[in-house]
Amino acid sequence: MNKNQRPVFLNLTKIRLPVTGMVSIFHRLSGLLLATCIPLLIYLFDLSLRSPQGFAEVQQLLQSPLLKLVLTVGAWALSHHLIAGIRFLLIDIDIGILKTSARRSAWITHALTALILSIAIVVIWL
Amino acid sequence: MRWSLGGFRPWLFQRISAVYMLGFLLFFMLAIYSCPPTDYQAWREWFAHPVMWMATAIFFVSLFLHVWVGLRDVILDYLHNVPIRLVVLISLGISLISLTLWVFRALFTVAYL
Repeated sequence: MNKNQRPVFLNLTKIRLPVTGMVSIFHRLSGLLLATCIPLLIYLFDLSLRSPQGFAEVQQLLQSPLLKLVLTVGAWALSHHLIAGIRFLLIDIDIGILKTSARRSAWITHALTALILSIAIVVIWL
Repeated sequence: MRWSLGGFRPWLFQRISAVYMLGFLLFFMLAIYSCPPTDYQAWREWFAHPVMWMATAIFFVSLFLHVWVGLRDVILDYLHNVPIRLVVLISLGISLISLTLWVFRALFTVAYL
């Protein structure tokens, strides 16, 4: 690294990422978020299968505001990661690789994520 | 097995695990929605069923493979200092192996106790 002296421009507030780049970086961010949720997921899974008390405990935990918040963020991360992932798989098999269709599918990814997130918010909080 | 931190094989693992997890999650959400397990007994019987048990085990193995490839890519992109990179990669590996053991202990308890 740093073998040459090329200028590096990394002012994140000034970089205007195109919508396709947005899908890409959100895919990475949501994957990171989901990965950090795995220990919690396995903890709850293990507890719920241990005993009737554990099962009841998990049911109660899922009603706590903190876990509801985690679930909401998780719902965003999961829906974005899945939809953007399907988009990337389609691009792998040469579907939607042109600039216009790639931009369109990027917008569709954001729209579907927003839709699923709103449904998830209703299910989790109401 | 050739040791490499990139290439076609991890790329393929990532795709195959992604497709499997997508199918499993859709099936799982549909099952939760159509016949929600309301008590412990029903929930336990779900995972005690050999097909569901196996499908869940494959799901978690896919998940850990997928996370390994994904986080490995992130680490290789952002951490350029080789010793730090190595330490972080090894910690990730140990964490994922521990999580695998943890979830398999939970699954085996359901199957055999």
